[in-house]
Amino acid sequence: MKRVLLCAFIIVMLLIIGVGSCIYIENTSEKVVNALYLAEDSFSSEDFRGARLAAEKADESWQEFMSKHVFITDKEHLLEITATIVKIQALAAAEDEELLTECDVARRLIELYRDKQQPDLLNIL
Amino acid sequence: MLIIIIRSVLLYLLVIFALRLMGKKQLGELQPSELVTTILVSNIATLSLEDPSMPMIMGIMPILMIVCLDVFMSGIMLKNTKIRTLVTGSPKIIIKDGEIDQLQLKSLRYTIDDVTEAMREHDIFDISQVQYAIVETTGKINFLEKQGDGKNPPTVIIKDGEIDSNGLKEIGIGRGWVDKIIAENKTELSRIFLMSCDSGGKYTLVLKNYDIKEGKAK
Repeated sequence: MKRVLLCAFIIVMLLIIGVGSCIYIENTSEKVVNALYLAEDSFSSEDFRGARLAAEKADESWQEFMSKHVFITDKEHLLEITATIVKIQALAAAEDEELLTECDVARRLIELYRDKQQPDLLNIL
Repeated sequence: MLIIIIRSVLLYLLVIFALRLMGKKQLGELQPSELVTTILVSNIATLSLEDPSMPMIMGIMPILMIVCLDVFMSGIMLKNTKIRTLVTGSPKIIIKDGEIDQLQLKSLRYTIDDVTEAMREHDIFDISQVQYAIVETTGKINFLEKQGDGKNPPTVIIKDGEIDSNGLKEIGIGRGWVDKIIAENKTELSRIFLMSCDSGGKYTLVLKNYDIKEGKAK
């Protein structure tokens, strides 16, 4: 009986970690994506300072996301996204138009990443 | 490199914990479900050692989940004989009174070579000397050599409060006879842990409160 109770406890803990990591990934990736949208909008409206701040915010949120990377099952493109976000910061500082393209790329990669962590049928299979 | 060494130590401790959680049964003959668990645990444990970029938690979580499922499955099988039979199968008689049940052998996908080899392992060289050969759920073949009196060994007819109809058929008795014995012993079917009986009507009855009764039907 003790063994069954211990197993029940372990399963509950695993489920909490699993569900918690899904929620965490969803929330932190949302923050990065929102910051990237803000950077794009600010740059389009020629608010370069705003774009720079938004790019910094995106980088902070991405670092937060990366700090819990042990809960992410697919890591192949983590470095790629990190490099893109770092590049966005540099482009915002240089007021380069390429920022818009890079923001779009980073946002799509993050969204794809976030969606791959969701326990839907396609991801499970 | 140090990471791999630390991971090895942690995984070693985790696998020992996992085996302890599964119980001593795991260390002996393996049932199909236990074999699956053992193979999966051993494979998953090596994944995070082979690939240092993979977080160790990705190995720990599935190991714990599989072991917990195994413990739950064992608990369910302990309570429910139908699920137990479904998961582990049931022992099959392949030789009775020196005669091979060829259909059974075919359904088990055992060849005659497998049987004769197992016989030789038990120091039996003449098939006519075999009273019973039973393929256990672990795949092991057990033999009972013919005794001088020619009597069949006792067969289990009640397990965990449930009548084993195959057992009844084997010794050629009916449900009525069993009910009579239960009534004579002033007990109920649900209170019986085990009842075995031989073809001569000699039975042993073990109640769930460890009370053992023996007797012979008139």
